[in-house]
Amino acid sequence: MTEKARRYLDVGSRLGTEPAPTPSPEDAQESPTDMPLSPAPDTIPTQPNADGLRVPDNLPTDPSLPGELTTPEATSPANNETLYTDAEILGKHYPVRQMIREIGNQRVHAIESFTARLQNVRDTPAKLRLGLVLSMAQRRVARKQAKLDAVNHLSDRHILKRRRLKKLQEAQRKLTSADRKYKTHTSTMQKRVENIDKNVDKRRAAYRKELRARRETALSRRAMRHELRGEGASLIEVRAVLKDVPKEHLERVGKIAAVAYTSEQRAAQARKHEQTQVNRESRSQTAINTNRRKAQEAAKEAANASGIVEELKTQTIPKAQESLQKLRKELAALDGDDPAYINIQVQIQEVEERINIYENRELPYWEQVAHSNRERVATLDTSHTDLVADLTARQTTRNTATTNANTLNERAQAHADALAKAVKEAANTAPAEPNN
Amino acid sequence: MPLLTANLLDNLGISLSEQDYQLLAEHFETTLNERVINEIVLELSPEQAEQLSHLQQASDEEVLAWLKANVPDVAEIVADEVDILLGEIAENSEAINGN
Repeated sequence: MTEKARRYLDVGSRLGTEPAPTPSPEDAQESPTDMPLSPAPDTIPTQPNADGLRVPDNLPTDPSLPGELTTPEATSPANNETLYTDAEILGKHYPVRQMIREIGNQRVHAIESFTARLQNVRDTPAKLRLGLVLSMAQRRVARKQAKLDAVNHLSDRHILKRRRLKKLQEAQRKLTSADRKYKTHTSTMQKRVENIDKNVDKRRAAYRKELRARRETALSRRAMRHELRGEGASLIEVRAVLKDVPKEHLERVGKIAAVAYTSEQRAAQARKHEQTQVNRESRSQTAINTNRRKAQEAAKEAANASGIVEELKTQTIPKAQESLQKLRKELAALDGDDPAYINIQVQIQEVEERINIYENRELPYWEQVAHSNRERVATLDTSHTDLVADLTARQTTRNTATTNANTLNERAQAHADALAKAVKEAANTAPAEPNN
Repeated sequence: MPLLTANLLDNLGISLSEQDYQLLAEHFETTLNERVINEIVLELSPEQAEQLSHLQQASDEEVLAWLKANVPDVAEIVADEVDILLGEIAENSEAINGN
């Protein structure tokens, strides 16, 4: 066994020693870091560094120091390839879904801050008004108190003293009311700002809780795997076989598994994000189509109403007026006892009523219909501009997401090839491992 | 891009200097890799362990193919170990931040 492998087994695992007992799920819950073969249960820093920050006990601050648990990259020339870095495997684009989750708290904090400050700005005039009312109430109480003091030498039953006392009490009641309203208002404004930080803490606590819950679930699954796998002769044999395997090789296998898994996960997230963007873009396009359809309908309504208005003004009303004039002439030509006289009078009245309806009801109504539909068309045109801008932005986002997803997908598919190439190149240039 | 990002730590209320963050992220990934291989080892039979020991000169592609063929739960193992590690960070976030 090489020194490196021995050190790894001593520090990082129990391989080659007595078989570790299989933990039950309960054990896993109580002491998750005491799982068998757990190489570094203390992921939490415990040693203060120069800056006062606690850093992990086995953190490789200087890989050249003997006895330190070092990374494979630091100790094995064959593993010095740079293609191991996530940046090269995954590209510079981090999955947007994860990014949104990570910036979520900060973004919500910014939105809440803006909203609260805007609301406080809106509430400031009311605060000033209530402050003025409070100030006036205080001055009124002072005046009433001074007036009461001026008649303090009189008997308590004196009518003037009783009246002034009553007025003072009334002023004090108003002062109390004004003070309560002012304090309530200012307290609301103050709490609005204070709640921003409280909400940040709440979201942070919720995030911690979620991560803890996921950890508990993962520990249970791990314990279940151990239960199913069982302990026995085979595991002892496995340990015996791997006892002389260099630590670097085992760590490399672990890293390959981790990198492959995370790159696949990120590619899947990016594909999901891309699909979300496609759906949003589709919704934007639908909104634009609906907007145009409504605008066409409104324009048609406006044109129809304008036509009716025009017809009323140029044909219907002038014809009715012309008819009215004729009837009036006929009426003027008749004697009062003529049998047709009453009939023409009735016709004149009917025509006058009709003209009145045209001028005072139908004309304003259709003018209003035309006006409101023209306004609606204008509003829809404005929102159409916004929707087109929104669609353009969404298309850009979708294109970015597609590019990102393709990049991550290709890299997830091809990273093994790239890694293999790097390993071969490194193997050609690196000295042979002393323990092989 | 590291698994343990500065924004993730910030969401947990942990603010570190760039240097301290790099150290923690590096430690996080090293620990993850070690725990993953230890869990993988638990899934192996003696024959598979023998095969694994002979893969020292194999390319990463071959190792990955071997892992997928011989450890069907490898994705779940990595996911669980990531969750466990992040949970430990969350569990001790106040202690990390306070130091």
